[in-house]
Amino acid sequence: MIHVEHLTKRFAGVTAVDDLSFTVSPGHVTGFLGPNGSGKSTTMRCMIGLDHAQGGSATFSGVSYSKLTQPLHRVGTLLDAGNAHSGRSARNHLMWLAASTGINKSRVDTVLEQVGLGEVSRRRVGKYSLGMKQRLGIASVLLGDPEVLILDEPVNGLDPEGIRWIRDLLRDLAKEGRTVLVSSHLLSEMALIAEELVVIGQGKLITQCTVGEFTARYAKQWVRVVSPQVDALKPLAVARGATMSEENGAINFYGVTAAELGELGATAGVIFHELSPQTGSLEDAFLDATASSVQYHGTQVEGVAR
Amino acid sequence: MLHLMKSEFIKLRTLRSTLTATIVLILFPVAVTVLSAMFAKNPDETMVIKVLVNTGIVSLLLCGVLGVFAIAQEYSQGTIRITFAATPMRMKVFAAKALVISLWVAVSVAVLEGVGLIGANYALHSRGFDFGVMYQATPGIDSAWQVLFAFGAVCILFALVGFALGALLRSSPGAIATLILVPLLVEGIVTGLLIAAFDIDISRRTPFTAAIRAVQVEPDAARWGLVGYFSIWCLVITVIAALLMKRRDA
Repeated sequence: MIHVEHLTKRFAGVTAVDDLSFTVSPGHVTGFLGPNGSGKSTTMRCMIGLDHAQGGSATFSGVSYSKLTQPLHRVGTLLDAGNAHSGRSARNHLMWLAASTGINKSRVDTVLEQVGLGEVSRRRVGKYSLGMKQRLGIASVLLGDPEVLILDEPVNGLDPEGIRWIRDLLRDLAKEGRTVLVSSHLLSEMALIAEELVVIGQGKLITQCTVGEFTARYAKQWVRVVSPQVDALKPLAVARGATMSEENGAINFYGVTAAELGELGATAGVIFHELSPQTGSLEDAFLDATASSVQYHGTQVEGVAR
Repeated sequence: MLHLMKSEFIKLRTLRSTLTATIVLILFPVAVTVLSAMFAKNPDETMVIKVLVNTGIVSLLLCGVLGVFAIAQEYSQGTIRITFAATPMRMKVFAAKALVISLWVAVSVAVLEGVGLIGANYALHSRGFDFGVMYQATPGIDSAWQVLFAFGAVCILFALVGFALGALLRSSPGAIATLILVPLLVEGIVTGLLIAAFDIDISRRTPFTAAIRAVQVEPDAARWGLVGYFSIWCLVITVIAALLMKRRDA
């Protein structure tokens, strides 16, 4: 269990994390979402004491990270896959890490096999692809067999097989009763991995809820209708306050439920070929929820196709 | 603490840069000393030690470079975050690193001195010179043991200064440049400017110059006083580095 309470971090007058509080429970994967520069990585660094917070606290089962004895056995963290010396082999990288906490050498070989780097463990990290570095980072997280895992963008650089592997791994670890907090920009991936979300923007908590609640609250919902008599349905729906848009021969009705449309259609003798409630994706919900918190906007490039 | 020291030892042992610097710091003075013993026209009792410690100035600087590597590379490669995540008590990490680099340098210098002296002794004997290289103290001249111990102590102190500079600057090039430029250039320039502008001579107070004077066979001041003076500077820089390492974000 992770408790973050009123965490605040400022850099030279800029508040990167602003009175942030949330809880991460064991037993499922919690996604940590936010736009670029929203303070996700800073929050994670503050949680494990790498950055000194100006206020607030982060505790792991009631104990702050700096007070943990042998923290590798309690909390495994992957903040940046590049945090390994390029001139050292993967095995030696894990060897020094294991030695610092008295972890047995055989555990190093076990986790290297587990992440699929067994055969290339004596190759220098500088020769590794980004995906292989990610796997090494995950091996370092697993080294101490911790009950809490914190991973910042763990699927970066992984191929589809690697993404599926880490998805299954994180789910399995959570099922074992561990606490798993994962940040990722790949929202489609997060929708598959996470059950709960902590969403932040400009260092502040936007919401903490389940993925279902988040999409229900922030994503657009509408009813898709395909009917040969849809024109008869439109004025009835408008009278109920609905708005409409057309999409590939179907009409999307906003502001009215499928049940209401069904009842309206029945009174007007409308035949439905399709009457289905629709919900926007996690990505849509995320963009809506964080629209006012995005710091770095891109612009459309004109004339690229010319 | 032993776990941490073992971890730091693995870090040093598994990098080519540290191994290369160690080999060079041992081989360069050994090679020059043995060659001198083989070819010097009129060798005397103190010649071998003189050549060893004079060429050992390069080793002194390389000990400092090893000290820089021990910490600055962790910052440049990002591994310091993993180190601090595994051991949140940063002072413990600092102490373990300082101890391991000191031991590493102490063993390297012992090998340097041992191999250099045995090799030079063998070369001299094969040429028919029957005096030993480990000369005794005479009025005005310390014994060979004194010089060798002082050299070892100053090598360790250089490593610690390099380590402290690496921790302060968190950059290998910056720390190495400081480590080399201060003793070879900056101290001399500052001394010259102060003499020219204010007629103040600090040439006998500059720390790195004091360290180099301390390892001469015939120093111009009390040998262990010079070592002690450099130790104080080393201690001050190291304490500042330790405090900053604790306070800064990693």
